[in-house]
Formats: sequence, C-alpha cells, structure tokens
Amino acid sequence: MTKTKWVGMDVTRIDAKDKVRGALKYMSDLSLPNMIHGAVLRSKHPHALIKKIDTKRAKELDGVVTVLTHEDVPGLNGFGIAIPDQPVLCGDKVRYMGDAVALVGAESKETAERALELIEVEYEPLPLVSDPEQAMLESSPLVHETGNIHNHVKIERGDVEAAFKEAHVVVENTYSTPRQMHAFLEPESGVATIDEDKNITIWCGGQHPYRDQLQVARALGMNPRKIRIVNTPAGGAFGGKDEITLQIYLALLVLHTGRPAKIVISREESVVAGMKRHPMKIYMKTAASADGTILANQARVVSDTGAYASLGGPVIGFAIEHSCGAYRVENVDLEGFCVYTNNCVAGAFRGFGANQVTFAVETQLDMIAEKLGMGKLDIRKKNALRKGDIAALGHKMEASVGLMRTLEAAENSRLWQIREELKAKPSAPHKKRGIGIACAFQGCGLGKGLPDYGAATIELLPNGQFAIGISCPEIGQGNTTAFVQIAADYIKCSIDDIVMLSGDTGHTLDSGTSTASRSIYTGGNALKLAAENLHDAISTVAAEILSVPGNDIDIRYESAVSKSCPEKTVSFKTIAEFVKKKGKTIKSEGHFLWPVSETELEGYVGIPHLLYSYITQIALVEVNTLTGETEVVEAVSVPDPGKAINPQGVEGQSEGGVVMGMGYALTEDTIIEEGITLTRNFSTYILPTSLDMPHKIDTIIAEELEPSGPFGAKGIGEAVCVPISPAITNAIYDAVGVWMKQIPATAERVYTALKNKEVS
Amino acid sequence: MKINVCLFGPMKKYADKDKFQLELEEGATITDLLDRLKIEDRIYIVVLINGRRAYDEDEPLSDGAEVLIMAPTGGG
Repeated sequence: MTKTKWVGMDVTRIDAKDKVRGALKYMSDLSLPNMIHGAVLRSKHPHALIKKIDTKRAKELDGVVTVLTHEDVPGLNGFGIAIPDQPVLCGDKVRYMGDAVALVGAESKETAERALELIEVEYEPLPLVSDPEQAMLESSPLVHETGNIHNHVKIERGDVEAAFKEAHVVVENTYSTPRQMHAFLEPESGVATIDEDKNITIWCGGQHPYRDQLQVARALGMNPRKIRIVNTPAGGAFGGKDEITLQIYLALLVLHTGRPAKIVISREESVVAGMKRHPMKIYMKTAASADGTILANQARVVSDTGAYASLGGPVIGFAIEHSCGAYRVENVDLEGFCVYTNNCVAGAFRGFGANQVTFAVETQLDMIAEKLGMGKLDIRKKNALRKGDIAALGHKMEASVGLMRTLEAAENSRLWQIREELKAKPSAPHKKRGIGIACAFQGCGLGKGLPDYGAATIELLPNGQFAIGISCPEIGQGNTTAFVQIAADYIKCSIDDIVMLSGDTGHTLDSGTSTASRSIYTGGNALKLAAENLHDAISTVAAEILSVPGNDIDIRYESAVSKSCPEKTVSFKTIAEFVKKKGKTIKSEGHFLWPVSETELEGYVGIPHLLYSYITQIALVEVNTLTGETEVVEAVSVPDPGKAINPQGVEGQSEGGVVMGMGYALTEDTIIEEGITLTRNFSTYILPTSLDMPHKIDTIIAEELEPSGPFGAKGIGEAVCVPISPAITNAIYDAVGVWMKQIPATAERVYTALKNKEVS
Repeated sequence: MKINVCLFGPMKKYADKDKFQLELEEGATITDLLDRLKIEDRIYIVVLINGRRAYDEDEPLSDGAEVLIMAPTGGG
C-alpha cells in the first residue's frame, strides 16, 4: 500500500475552528438584503380532498408580498427522488399532515405566519389508513390511485421448507421498529436569490446539490443550468435532507417576487412534514443445525413509507438485501413490501433499511445460540461472511470482507474479556447487568443497476495552493477533512495548502450524493484520477522551467524534480507563479465510475452491492427491575471502514452512531395516531442527552483494506449506528431474561415484559 | 459514427433493449441522441459519456462513445 503522510493521521477537522467559535454560518444564519420571509401552509387533515383555496384575505394583509398555490408552479407540480409523487403545492388532495397547500412570502416571518392563518382552505375529509398492513388490503382507502403497495421485493434461493424440516433449531418471531427522527440540529432552512437574467441561487442544507438542481428545474420548468444549489453546510442531515425540503419553495418565492427569500421552519413543522426512518414490521423464521450453522432464513417485511415514496422503494430492497445479516445463508425466502399510508413520509435515514432487519436477525441469532447453549460470539464467527462466500442474495463477496477481523477485535476488547466481572457489579441491588453483541454489514454506494459516478477537480492556485472541488456536501460527517487528507497525499503537498470546495453546483462538478456510505470512496477515487492528470500538467510546465524532457519529471513532495538530474527541482509555488505570468491555469478533473457486483437480480435496481463496510458492537447494560429503565453502561464499537483516512473522524462517527442506535433501541419514536403526529418536539420525542451517554465508548478500528478504494478506504458513516441496537436489546435479555421484539425498548415495555415473565 | 448506449431505470422504456449500438451522423450531439430515442423528459435526466457526466445537451458525441442515460436517483 502507498506510503502516506496525511492519510491515516488524526487531523483536526477543517471546519472545527469555525464551528467551536460559532463563526460558521449555517443556512438559518444567512441573510440577504431586501429579502422576504417565506412560510408554508400545511394540511389540516391527514387525508382529504381540497375543494377550494381562497388566498384573498392573506394577500390583503399588510406586509404580504405574495401568496402562491398549485396554480403558481410553472413546471411539474411534483417532486420525489425516485418518482415525483409528492405535490410541491397540493391542488386537489392532501395525503398527510405535512402536505404543503400554499406558500406565503412577506416582509417579516411574523407576517408570513399570520398570513397562513388567513388562507381559507375547504377540505372534504377522506377515510384514512395509518396501518401499513391494513393499507395492503384491497378494501383499504387508496392513498394514491395507483394502489397502496409502492414496491414489492421477493428473493428466493434454495429450499427453506426442506431446511426447516432438517433443522435442529427453528426460531420464529415478529418484530416492530419505530419511526425514528433524524433530529438534525438545524431544522430545514435556506435562502435564495435571483438575478436580472433569472438565474437562481439557492443555499439550502441538502445531500446532493446536482439532483436538487434537477428537481428544482423540473418544478420550475427551467433549464437546470440556470439554477445553482449550495448544500454545504447542512447543519446535520443523516439522510433527512436527501430529498427536497425547501429548495423548490425558495425558488418559487424568488421567481414570483424577484426578491431574495428566506425560509426557516420550526422544529414542530420539521417533525410533521419532514422525513423519518421507515417503521417496519418484520416476520422472521430462522433455522440452524446443532452446530449453529444457519440453514435458512425466511422474512416478510412490511415498511411504512407514509404518504409519498421518496426512497421507500430502494429502502425496502436494501432491507431485504441485509435481512440475513452478514452471514452465509444458503436457503432464503425474503419478501418485502413498501406501503403507502397517510402517515408522515419516510425516506433515507442512516442505515437505509438495514437497522430494522438487523435488529430482527441479530435477535434471532441470539435466540438460536441460547437454545443450542452456544456462545453469542461463537455463533457469529461460525456463520460470518468471508471473502469469496456467497451471500444471501446469491452474490459473491468479491471485495474486502472485514467481519471476522471485527469479531476477533471485539473478542479481545477489554469489555468482552472482563464482561462477567462487570456484570457481577450492578450499581444497586434492584439493578441487573447484561452484555450483548451484534454484527452488521452495510452496502456502500448505490448498488447494482444504478450507475454510481462522481467527479473531482483540482486547480493549482496562483499562490501555489490547490483548490479541490467535490460536490458531496459536508453534512457533519467530516468528509471534507478526509478529502483534504486524501488530496494532499495524492497531490503530494501539505493539507495546509488545500482549499476545499464542497456541495456547490457553481464551483464543483457532480460527485453524487453524501449518502450510502459512498462519498469518501467516490470522492477519493475521483481525486486520485484528478491528481494523476494534475501531475501530467505540472510535469509539462516543470519540464519547460527546468529545460528537461517532459518524461524526465518526477513529482515529489511539494515539488517537481528531474529524474536524470535530481538537483534540478522546482516547487509547486514557482510553477504556479510561472503559469500565472503566462496567463494560464492548471486545472484537472477526475471522473470515477463505481465497480458493481457481477450478480444481476432481474427486475431489481440498487441491489446487490459489491462493497460493504462491516462492524461488530458490544453493549453492557444495566436494567432497573423496578422501573424497566435501561442504561447503557459501556459500549465497544469495532468498525471496518477499510483504511481509516482520519481515525479521529472514524471514532467520532462511531461514537455518534452508538448514541443514535442507542436512542433507536431505547427511547426514540415519532408517534402518529390516526395520521396526527403526537410527538412534535423534543419534550415528547425522547433523544439521548449527555446524561444518558455510556460511561465509556471504545472504538477499535479494524481495517480490512479495500484494494479498489482510495488508500484502501470504503465508507463507515452508516454501519456505526446499526448493530448497537440489537446489541443493547440482546444485553437486556442477558440481564433480565426478556426478549425485546419491539423497539424502542422503553422502560414501560421492559417493565411489562418483566411482569409478564413473572406471571408465566 | 457508432455510439454505444445503455439505458437505466425509467429510461429503459425508450428502447427494446437496455444496451445497444446506434449509428449517428458525425458531429451528432446529446440532443440528437435524445431525439432519436424520443426521450421527452430532458430535465430530470443524467447522461454519462465515457464515465463523465455531461451537463450540456449540445455536447458533441464521438465515435465509439459509451453513453449511459439514467434518471437521477439515490440509494443506500
């Protein structure tokens, strides 16, 4: 592997100083001269026909500049990454409480909000459907005329029934998972402006500026090149800003008024209107032989995508791909349904469907181990995928597979080694301790059938520094710092000489999304290609300066050197000055296209994947037997990210992931009853706080280098939050002997399970 | 000149096959190719030429070019 100076080093985040000093301007901090303030009128019903919209009184309110409805959308009145089934502004029907019906622009935010109250909308309420299994029935109210089943996935391999008959152990359960909220720090916010030629610029937190550009252009019926999108900084995203949020509304306001505009929505509006993680109901039947070999897995997964599709289709495909865990299973019968309801829309969320099914399959595995009297770590080692194995969908694990490495590191961790000692020391007599372990793999990139591409640019600046451009936005994950490290090692310069341009269609080429654990692999590989082209250009100029043939140049650290006459050298800075004097520039591009699995699943897009990140996580919990409350005392997280570009950054991702998975396991759920969101703020939606943090989270990075990755890197942004949830619920079983099949495992649910256990 | 075309996702509906070769006149552009395929949605579309995203419909194609046509999407 190439020797590196910056890759693999703990480097302070390039945005750290501005963030800790409060100097960084987030989207809600931005302000433009003469701007108006926007506000969106949301639906009053979860399912209703719109009979009439009267904006007269709102328009008459002093300070109101414009009131827009569906009639004012000049292009396609719809958006959605996969299919544009969500109206920009509803004209005939609303399908959930977050649906937008009208848009106001006013001189102040207060006036805009007052004007919303003056818009008169006449609704005819319709019967609603809030249970996805009910929605699948033919008798159910239709959310969309096309039917309530948006996507159906069915994968069969081998003979599950024969395997169930010959198995030594069969476990069969039904699991439920919650509607987790992304809970990014900054609710959806943005500003926009328009120039005399009707060129629009939108600053709005997002995860794929070039796709946002096309979605806005489609709604406005405009040439995409007239729209510039800036997504960085996003103020947190986790998948929740992958879909369009406010970009089209900002564009409509500036288009119709000719004035800059700003919209910042409240947390309550964000909760009701924004994306969530898909709640899933998972039936799973798993068989194993006496030695713990998994023989078969049968799963039926029903996913609630709410009123609109967004990425619900790909999420159910991804869930099915990951529904057997990171294990060899020869006989599978896997079926998934993505279903429309009148609930809040669900879309992309860190883990992308893996979290739900991993909770189920990792619980199944522990149950099997328990029945066989087998060690929980041993059964995972027994079945762990290795390179060259055939995975559940029938595809070969052709790329690096680091699961065994993570299991071995977890086994050697302090927490695992002294677990019995720690379990024996609860903090009070009525508290009991338990340990749980779980594994996961996480597909990186967009998978088979979706060309996954990305570009990078490098420009030698007149001062000898290098500007690098990658459009994958910085959403808090630290990708810009990693890009700077990768670029410095490929270019052969200091990280202090790199200027990073991110998430801006005006200054970067299209590098795709900051999702799917893909941005480091994509951007890093594109940077590698761009650096090679840059070196060619630098060599040409250096040869001219040094009066040597072009093929006599070697690129060294911060300089070009003659191979035949090594005393002849010229620094990058001198080359930059030379080029500037000639009125020229040196700018290179790198264009990367992901490799894909050789396996093609007829009729499916996005599965299977070629690359996966792997992870094993351990949780030590303490359960209060009087209240049912669970505390995570310690956790160990062992990710395989390929090469850790910035180990400190991987640790940050790992710790954040553990806490996000802890909230998913124990407290978080956006409760919607009859289409009405009940948990509208953080007073009722219970996020872990600093007081809930484990006393200790150890991250042990288990690098299994990926030959096709930049310096061996893959991605790790998502996997870190996945297996910790079943590790926690498995630990609850270890502590008090109850299996939690529904998460979050709230105090009430654990207490009830304990009481039921006492009765039985 | 001969262009190698590959259609993905919703773009597959515009041809009988997903992968095929087309004969176009020298100097033909992306617009000419989209016209030939009768692709109507020219906004929500991504065209890759030899692995590089094209941003301009007037961009000329070259003999032997690999052209991938897709709708933007996402995934995990």
